[in-house]
Amino acid sequence: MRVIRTIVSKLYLYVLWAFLAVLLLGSVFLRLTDTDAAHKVVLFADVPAISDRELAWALEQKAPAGIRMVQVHPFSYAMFDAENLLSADLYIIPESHVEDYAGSFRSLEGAGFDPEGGYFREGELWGLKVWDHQSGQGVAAAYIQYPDEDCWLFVNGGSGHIRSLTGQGDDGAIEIARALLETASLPPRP
Amino acid sequence: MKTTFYTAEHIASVRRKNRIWNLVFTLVCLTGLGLCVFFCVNTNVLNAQRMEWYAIGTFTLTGWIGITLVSAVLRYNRALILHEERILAAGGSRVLRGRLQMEKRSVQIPGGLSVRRVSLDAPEGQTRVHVAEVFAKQLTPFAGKELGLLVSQGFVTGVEP
Repeated sequence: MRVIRTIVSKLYLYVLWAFLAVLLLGSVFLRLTDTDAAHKVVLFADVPAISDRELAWALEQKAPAGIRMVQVHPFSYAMFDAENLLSADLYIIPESHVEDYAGSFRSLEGAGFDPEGGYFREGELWGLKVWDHQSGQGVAAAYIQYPDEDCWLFVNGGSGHIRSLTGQGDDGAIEIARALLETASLPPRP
Repeated sequence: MKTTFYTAEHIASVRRKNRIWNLVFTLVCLTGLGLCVFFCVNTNVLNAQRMEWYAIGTFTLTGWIGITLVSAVLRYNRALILHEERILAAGGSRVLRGRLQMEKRSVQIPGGLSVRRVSLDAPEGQTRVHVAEVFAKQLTPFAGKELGLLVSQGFVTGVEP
Protein backbone atom coordinates (compact mmCIF):
# COMPACT_ATOMS: atom_id res chain seq x y z
CA MET A 1 0.00 0.00 0.00
CA ARG A 2 2.80 2.40 0.99
CA VAL A 3 4.69 1.59 -2.21
CA ILE A 4 1.60 2.19 -4.38
CA ARG A 5 0.97 5.48 -2.58
CA THR A 6 4.58 6.52 -3.19
CA ILE A 7 4.33 5.59 -6.89
CA VAL A 8 1.11 7.59 -7.29
CA SER A 9 2.63 10.60 -5.52
CA LYS A 10 5.65 10.47 -7.86
CA LEU A 11 3.64 9.88 -11.04
CA TYR A 12 4.95 13.11 -12.57
CA LEU A 13 8.51 11.75 -12.23
CA TYR A 14 7.62 8.59 -14.18
CA VAL A 15 6.08 10.68 -16.97
CA LEU A 16 9.07 13.05 -17.04
CA TRP A 17 11.45 10.09 -17.18
CA ALA A 18 9.61 8.62 -20.18
CA PHE A 19 9.88 12.00 -21.97
CA LEU A 20 13.57 12.18 -21.11
CA ALA A 21 14.13 8.67 -22.48
CA VAL A 22 12.50 9.52 -25.81
CA LEU A 23 14.37 12.84 -26.14
CA LEU A 24 17.78 11.57 -25.02
CA LEU A 25 17.82 8.30 -26.95
CA GLY A 26 16.11 9.94 -29.92
CA SER A 27 19.01 12.38 -30.21
CA VAL A 28 21.58 9.61 -29.60
CA PHE A 29 20.09 7.49 -32.40
CA LEU A 30 19.80 10.52 -34.65
CA ARG A 31 23.57 10.90 -34.30
CA LEU A 32 24.16 7.17 -34.72
CA THR A 33 22.15 7.00 -37.91
CA ASP A 34 23.68 10.09 -39.45
CA THR A 35 27.12 11.45 -40.19
CA ASP A 36 28.61 14.59 -41.69
CA ALA A 37 28.05 15.26 -45.39
CA ALA A 38 31.72 14.56 -46.16
CA HIS A 39 31.27 10.91 -45.24
CA LYS A 40 27.83 10.07 -46.57
CA VAL A 41 26.10 9.81 -49.90
CA VAL A 42 22.40 10.67 -50.01
CA LEU A 43 20.04 9.33 -52.66
CA PHE A 44 16.57 10.84 -53.01
CA ALA A 45 14.03 8.90 -55.06
CA ASP A 46 10.80 10.43 -56.34
CA VAL A 47 9.03 7.07 -56.66
CA PRO A 48 5.79 5.63 -55.25
CA ALA A 49 7.58 3.34 -52.75
CA ILE A 50 11.11 2.43 -51.80
CA SER A 51 12.69 0.02 -49.31
CA ASP A 52 14.96 2.80 -48.14
CA ARG A 53 16.78 1.01 -45.30
CA GLU A 54 17.37 -2.19 -47.26
CA LEU A 55 18.62 -0.33 -50.33
CA ALA A 56 20.85 1.92 -48.19
CA TRP A 57 22.31 -1.17 -46.55
CA ALA A 58 22.92 -2.85 -49.94
CA LEU A 59 24.58 0.28 -51.35
CA GLU A 60 26.67 0.72 -48.21
CA GLN A 61 28.24 -2.68 -48.91
CA LYS A 62 29.56 -1.22 -52.17
CA ALA A 63 30.56 2.19 -50.76
CA PRO A 64 34.17 3.24 -51.43
CA ALA A 65 36.62 4.02 -48.62
CA GLY A 66 35.82 7.33 -46.99
CA ILE A 67 32.05 6.91 -47.33
CA ARG A 68 30.74 5.67 -44.02
CA MET A 69 27.06 5.88 -44.76
CA VAL A 70 24.55 5.77 -47.59
CA GLN A 71 21.14 7.27 -46.98
CA VAL A 72 18.15 6.59 -49.20
CA HIS A 73 15.06 8.74 -48.82
CA PRO A 74 11.72 9.04 -50.57
CA PHE A 75 10.83 12.62 -51.50
CA SER A 76 8.25 12.72 -48.70
CA TYR A 77 11.21 12.69 -46.28
CA ALA A 78 11.94 16.29 -47.25
CA MET A 79 8.36 17.41 -46.60
CA PHE A 80 9.34 19.61 -43.67
CA ASP A 81 12.93 20.40 -44.60
CA ALA A 82 13.66 21.04 -48.26
CA GLU A 83 17.34 21.53 -47.35
CA ASN A 84 17.68 17.74 -47.14
CA LEU A 85 16.37 17.41 -50.65
CA LEU A 86 18.61 20.11 -52.11
CA SER A 87 21.76 18.74 -50.48
CA ALA A 88 21.34 15.14 -51.71
CA ASP A 89 24.02 13.68 -53.98
CA LEU A 90 21.93 11.47 -56.24
CA TYR A 91 18.36 11.66 -57.46
CA ILE A 92 15.98 9.22 -59.11
CA ILE A 93 13.38 11.28 -60.92
CA PRO A 94 10.46 10.24 -63.15
CA GLU A 95 10.51 11.58 -66.69
CA SER A 96 7.61 14.00 -66.09
CA HIS A 97 9.40 15.75 -63.17
CA VAL A 98 12.90 16.03 -64.58
CA GLU A 99 12.52 19.65 -65.67
CA ASP A 100 11.26 20.64 -62.18
CA TYR A 101 14.62 19.74 -60.64
CA ALA A 102 16.91 20.16 -63.63
CA GLY A 103 18.50 23.29 -62.14
CA SER A 104 20.17 21.22 -59.41
CA PHE A 105 21.67 18.61 -61.74
CA ARG A 106 24.83 18.64 -63.80
CA SER A 107 26.27 16.92 -66.82
CA LEU A 108 27.78 13.48 -66.36
CA GLU A 109 30.31 13.95 -69.17
CA GLY A 110 33.69 12.72 -68.03
CA ALA A 111 32.46 10.33 -65.35
CA GLY A 112 32.78 7.34 -67.69
CA PHE A 113 29.12 6.29 -67.77
CA ASP A 114 27.77 4.50 -70.84
CA PRO A 115 25.89 7.22 -72.73
CA GLU A 116 23.62 4.77 -74.56
CA GLY A 117 19.98 5.40 -73.75
CA GLY A 118 20.93 8.27 -71.46
CA TYR A 119 19.14 11.54 -70.83
CA PHE A 120 20.76 14.20 -72.98
CA ARG A 121 20.61 17.93 -72.58
CA GLU A 122 22.33 20.33 -74.97
CA GLY A 123 24.15 17.36 -76.41
CA GLU A 124 25.61 16.23 -73.10
CA LEU A 125 24.81 13.21 -70.99
CA TRP A 126 22.93 14.40 -67.88
CA GLY A 127 20.96 11.40 -66.68
CA LEU A 128 21.08 7.62 -66.73
CA LYS A 129 17.98 5.52 -67.27
CA VAL A 130 17.18 3.47 -64.19
CA TRP A 131 13.67 2.35 -65.13
CA ASP A 132 12.34 1.57 -68.58
CA HIS A 133 8.59 1.61 -68.33
CA GLN A 134 8.03 -0.12 -71.69
CA SER A 135 10.14 -3.17 -70.92
CA GLY A 136 9.50 -3.06 -67.15
CA GLN A 137 13.24 -3.37 -66.57
CA GLY A 138 15.12 -1.26 -64.08
CA VAL A 139 17.86 -1.09 -61.50
CA ALA A 140 17.31 -2.23 -57.92
CA ALA A 141 13.76 -3.17 -58.84
CA ALA A 142 13.61 -5.38 -55.75
CA TYR A 143 13.95 -2.23 -53.61
CA ILE A 144 12.17 0.41 -55.66
CA GLN A 145 8.59 0.51 -56.85
CA TYR A 146 8.81 2.66 -59.97
CA PRO A 147 5.98 4.78 -61.40
CA ASP A 148 4.34 4.19 -64.78
CA GLU A 149 6.97 6.18 -66.68
CA ASP A 150 10.70 6.10 -67.30
CA CYS A 151 12.94 7.16 -64.42
CA TRP A 152 16.38 8.72 -64.52
CA LEU A 153 19.34 8.97 -62.21
CA PHE A 154 20.96 12.39 -61.85
CA VAL A 155 23.75 13.84 -59.74
CA ASN A 156 23.58 17.05 -57.77
CA GLY A 157 26.01 19.59 -59.22
CA GLY A 158 26.82 20.78 -55.69
CA SER A 159 27.72 17.33 -54.36
CA GLY A 160 31.13 16.93 -52.76
CA HIS A 161 31.30 13.32 -53.96
CA ILE A 162 31.66 13.77 -57.75
CA ARG A 163 35.40 14.27 -58.19
CA SER A 164 35.36 12.78 -61.73
CA LEU A 165 33.14 15.71 -62.72
CA THR A 166 34.36 18.59 -60.57
CA GLY A 167 37.91 17.58 -59.64
CA GLN A 168 37.09 18.21 -55.99
CA GLY A 169 36.19 15.99 -53.03
CA ASP A 170 35.83 12.25 -53.57
CA ASP A 171 34.02 10.04 -56.05
CA GLY A 172 31.61 8.45 -53.55
CA ALA A 173 28.40 9.44 -55.36
CA ILE A 174 29.75 8.24 -58.70
CA GLU A 175 30.76 4.90 -57.17
CA ILE A 176 27.37 4.49 -55.50
CA ALA A 177 25.65 5.37 -58.79
CA ARG A 178 27.72 2.66 -60.52
CA ALA A 179 26.79 0.15 -57.80
CA LEU A 180 23.13 1.06 -58.24
CA LEU A 181 23.32 0.64 -62.02
CA GLU A 182 24.96 -2.77 -61.65
CA THR A 183 22.07 -4.17 -59.65
CA ALA A 184 23.41 -7.68 -59.95
CA SER A 185 26.52 -6.60 -58.03
CA LEU A 186 24.42 -5.62 -55.00
CA PRO A 187 24.25 -8.13 -52.15
CA PRO A 188 20.98 -10.09 -51.91
CA ARG A 189 18.15 -8.18 -50.29
CA PRO A 190 18.24 -8.78 -46.49
CA MET B 1 6.78 -7.67 29.96
CA LYS B 2 8.12 -4.49 28.35
CA THR B 3 8.78 -4.50 24.59
CA THR B 4 10.98 -1.78 23.08
CA PHE B 5 10.69 -1.01 19.34
CA TYR B 6 13.61 1.35 18.84
CA THR B 7 16.86 -0.56 19.22
CA ALA B 8 20.36 -0.37 17.76
CA GLU B 9 19.81 -3.88 16.35
CA HIS B 10 16.72 -2.75 14.45
CA ILE B 11 18.62 0.21 12.99
CA ALA B 12 21.44 -2.16 11.99
CA SER B 13 18.97 -4.52 10.29
CA VAL B 14 17.34 -1.64 8.35
CA ARG B 15 20.84 -0.46 7.33
CA ARG B 16 21.69 -3.97 6.15
CA LYS B 17 18.50 -4.21 4.10
CA ASN B 18 19.14 -0.76 2.66
CA ARG B 19 22.63 -1.80 1.57
CA ILE B 20 21.11 -4.75 -0.31
CA TRP B 21 18.50 -2.49 -1.95
CA ASN B 22 21.30 -0.06 -2.85
CA LEU B 23 23.07 -2.92 -4.58
CA VAL B 24 19.87 -3.85 -6.42
CA PHE B 25 19.44 -0.21 -7.47
CA THR B 26 23.04 -0.05 -8.75
CA LEU B 27 22.55 -3.30 -10.66
CA VAL B 28 19.32 -2.04 -12.25
CA CYS B 29 21.06 1.21 -13.33
CA LEU B 30 24.11 -0.62 -14.71
CA THR B 31 21.94 -3.19 -16.53
CA GLY B 32 19.84 -0.45 -18.10
CA LEU B 33 22.88 1.56 -19.13
CA GLY B 34 24.70 -1.55 -20.39
CA LEU B 35 21.72 -2.64 -22.49
CA CYS B 36 21.36 0.86 -23.98
CA VAL B 37 25.06 0.86 -24.91
CA PHE B 38 24.64 -2.65 -26.38
CA PHE B 39 21.70 -1.48 -28.53
CA CYS B 40 23.65 1.60 -29.68
CA VAL B 41 26.77 -0.40 -30.55
CA ASN B 42 24.78 -3.00 -32.50
CA THR B 43 22.81 -0.45 -34.50
CA ASN B 44 23.02 -0.51 -38.27
CA VAL B 45 20.97 0.98 -41.05
CA LEU B 46 18.64 -2.03 -41.14
CA ASN B 47 17.81 -2.34 -37.46
CA ALA B 48 18.18 1.29 -36.30
CA GLN B 49 14.47 1.86 -35.72
CA ARG B 50 14.03 -1.38 -33.79
CA MET B 51 17.15 -0.77 -31.70
CA GLU B 52 15.99 2.77 -30.89
CA TRP B 53 12.68 1.46 -29.53
CA TYR B 54 14.48 -1.26 -27.57
CA ALA B 55 16.82 1.34 -26.05
CA ILE B 56 13.99 3.75 -25.22
CA GLY B 57 11.98 0.90 -23.66
CA THR B 58 14.93 -0.32 -21.60
CA PHE B 59 15.90 3.18 -20.47
CA THR B 60 12.30 3.99 -19.50
CA LEU B 61 11.64 0.72 -17.66
CA THR B 62 14.92 0.64 -15.73
CA GLY B 63 14.42 4.32 -14.90
CA TRP B 64 10.94 3.63 -13.54
CA ILE B 65 12.27 0.73 -11.45
CA GLY B 66 15.06 3.02 -10.21
CA ILE B 67 12.62 5.80 -9.28
CA THR B 68 10.44 3.29 -7.41
CA LEU B 69 13.44 1.88 -5.54
CA VAL B 70 14.76 5.31 -4.58
CA SER B 71 11.48 6.85 -3.49
CA ALA B 72 9.66 3.84 -2.01
CA VAL B 73 12.56 1.91 -0.49
CA LEU B 74 15.91 3.70 -0.20
CA ARG B 75 14.64 7.13 0.88
CA TYR B 76 12.04 5.54 3.15
CA ASN B 77 14.64 3.39 4.88
CA ARG B 78 16.99 6.37 5.25
CA ALA B 79 14.18 8.39 6.81
CA LEU B 80 13.41 5.49 9.17
CA ILE B 81 17.05 5.18 10.24
CA LEU B 82 17.29 8.93 10.90
CA HIS B 83 14.02 8.86 12.81
CA GLU B 84 15.09 5.90 14.97
CA GLU B 85 18.48 7.47 15.67
CA ARG B 86 16.82 10.73 16.71
CA ILE B 87 14.42 8.94 19.06
CA LEU B 88 17.24 6.85 20.57
CA ALA B 89 19.42 9.94 21.01
CA ALA B 90 16.56 11.76 22.76
CA GLY B 91 16.14 8.79 25.18
CA GLY B 92 13.91 8.96 28.29
CA SER B 93 10.57 7.49 27.23
CA ARG B 94 7.64 8.26 29.52
CA VAL B 95 4.88 5.74 30.18
CA LEU B 96 1.28 6.61 29.31
CA ARG B 97 -1.50 4.29 30.40
CA GLY B 98 -4.98 3.87 28.94
CA ARG B 99 -7.11 1.99 26.39
CA LEU B 100 -5.39 1.80 23.01
CA GLN B 101 -7.17 2.94 19.86
CA MET B 102 -5.37 2.72 16.49
CA GLU B 103 -6.27 4.30 13.17
CA LYS B 104 -6.29 1.83 10.30
CA ARG B 105 -4.81 4.16 7.70
CA SER B 106 -1.25 5.40 7.80
CA VAL B 107 -0.16 8.87 6.80
CA GLN B 108 3.13 10.08 5.44
CA ILE B 109 4.87 12.76 7.49
CA PRO B 110 7.46 15.17 6.06
CA GLY B 111 10.67 13.25 5.51
CA GLY B 112 8.86 10.32 3.95
CA LEU B 113 8.12 8.28 7.06
CA SER B 114 4.73 6.49 7.26
CA VAL B 115 3.07 6.68 10.66
CA ARG B 116 -0.26 5.71 12.20
CA ARG B 117 -2.18 7.78 14.70
CA VAL B 118 -2.74 6.15 18.06
CA SER B 119 -4.85 7.39 20.93
CA LEU B 120 -4.92 6.30 24.56
CA ASP B 121 -8.22 6.73 26.42
CA ALA B 122 -7.67 7.26 30.14
CA PRO B 123 -9.98 8.60 32.91
CA GLU B 124 -7.98 11.84 32.90
CA GLY B 125 -8.45 12.34 29.16
CA GLN B 126 -7.33 11.19 25.72
CA THR B 127 -3.70 11.32 24.59
CA ARG B 128 -2.78 11.24 20.88
CA VAL B 129 0.60 9.96 19.73
CA HIS B 130 2.06 8.32 16.59
CA VAL B 131 3.55 4.95 15.90
CA ALA B 132 5.89 4.36 12.98
CA GLU B 133 4.16 2.14 10.37
CA VAL B 134 7.00 -0.37 10.63
CA PHE B 135 6.15 -0.95 14.34
CA ALA B 136 2.37 -0.68 14.01
CA LYS B 137 1.99 -4.43 13.43
CA GLN B 138 3.48 -5.12 16.88
CA LEU B 139 0.93 -2.80 18.46
CA THR B 140 -2.16 -4.04 16.60
CA PRO B 141 -2.86 -7.05 18.92
CA PHE B 142 -3.25 -4.62 21.82
CA ALA B 143 -5.93 -2.46 20.16
CA GLY B 144 -8.88 -1.93 22.50
CA LYS B 145 -6.95 -3.17 25.52
CA GLU B 146 -5.67 -1.36 28.61
CA LEU B 147 -1.90 -1.01 28.49
CA GLY B 148 1.06 1.27 29.01
CA LEU B 149 2.79 2.85 26.06
CA LEU B 150 6.38 4.06 26.13
CA VAL B 151 6.39 7.43 24.36
CA SER B 152 9.25 9.68 23.28
CA GLN B 153 9.02 12.80 21.06
CA GLY B 154 5.36 11.96 20.37
CA PHE B 155 6.16 8.50 19.04
CA VAL B 156 5.39 5.13 20.58
CA THR B 157 8.75 3.50 21.35
CA GLY B 158 7.50 0.44 23.18
CA VAL B 159 4.64 -1.29 24.93
CA GLU B 160 4.12 -2.35 28.54
CA PRO B 161 1.02 -4.60 28.77
